[in-house]
Amino acid sequence: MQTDENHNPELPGIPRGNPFSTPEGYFDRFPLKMADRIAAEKGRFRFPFPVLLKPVPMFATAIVLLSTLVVGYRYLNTGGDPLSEEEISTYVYQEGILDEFSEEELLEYSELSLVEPDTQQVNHPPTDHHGIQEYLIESGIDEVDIINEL
Amino acid sequence: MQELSDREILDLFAKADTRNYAFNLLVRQFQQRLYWHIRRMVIDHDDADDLLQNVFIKAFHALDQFREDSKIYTWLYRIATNECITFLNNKRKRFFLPIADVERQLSENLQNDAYFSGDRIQMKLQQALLTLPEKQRLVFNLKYFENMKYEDMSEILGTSVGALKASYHHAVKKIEEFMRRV
Repeated sequence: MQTDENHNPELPGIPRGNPFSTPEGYFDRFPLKMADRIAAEKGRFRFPFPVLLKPVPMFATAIVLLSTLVVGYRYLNTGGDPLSEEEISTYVYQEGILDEFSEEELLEYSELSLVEPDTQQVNHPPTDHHGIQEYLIESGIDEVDIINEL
Repeated sequence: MQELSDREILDLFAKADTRNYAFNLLVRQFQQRLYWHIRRMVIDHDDADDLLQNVFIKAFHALDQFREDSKIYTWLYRIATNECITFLNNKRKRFFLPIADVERQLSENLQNDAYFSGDRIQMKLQQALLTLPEKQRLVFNLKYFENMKYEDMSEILGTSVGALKASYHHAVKKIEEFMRRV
């Protein structure tokens, strides 16, 4: 079997010795120099996730952060799902809020709620047969209820 | 200086109160071998000094995550080799130099180097080495000057033992040719 040495043919006439040298005492001073550098390094801020400094992970992280910001902003801006009329009625009934207002106040509020904010005109509830039917359909009341009502 | 085993160094480094001591021992244990390895590649003492410091700084920050699937010394050699290759590549990019011009510049540095104490033949050998491709130069240096095992070299350079032997053989042939010609 060939050993490593067999693959290490000498170059004839060329000494193997090290032709380079260093300034005097270099290897005695070097550990102290390293100790100083390490002390300086410890005081320096190092980014805790160095892998994120590479382009691909950095790009992926940026996309995730941006998506989170956009979704969060949109959610906060809508203030969640609006309550249905039924939920509002149940809440008002359960809390006894109606008892806190007089009949005049409630009538006044119901008229104000029908005023379109831009025109300040009162939308009178429909009084004719066709108008009532349309109103009930728009209000999402069940067809059977509408027929019963009519 | 008594050399510590890898396990002893890692155990000392793992404890906060002996961390700096362990690192100091690591530096003392490996500084000379790594320095000469780097110096043969970059020629200039100041460059070798800077790179050696970078190697140990990187080792300091990564020693915690060192998995013992290799020896500390081959791991340090790998860091040092990568530092040398990056340094030489940057030199080329910075001055838009082709490979041959960088090697020519290194050869000129060698002739003016105050810390080169070799004779005329050794100077000629170094100049011959500078005509070799980087990888061949690395293989030749590790084998010829350090008598490193091919298995360890394979770990450091990420090349098969067979390819390393072939690379060394080619390097020797080219050097012989250079020595005859020049």
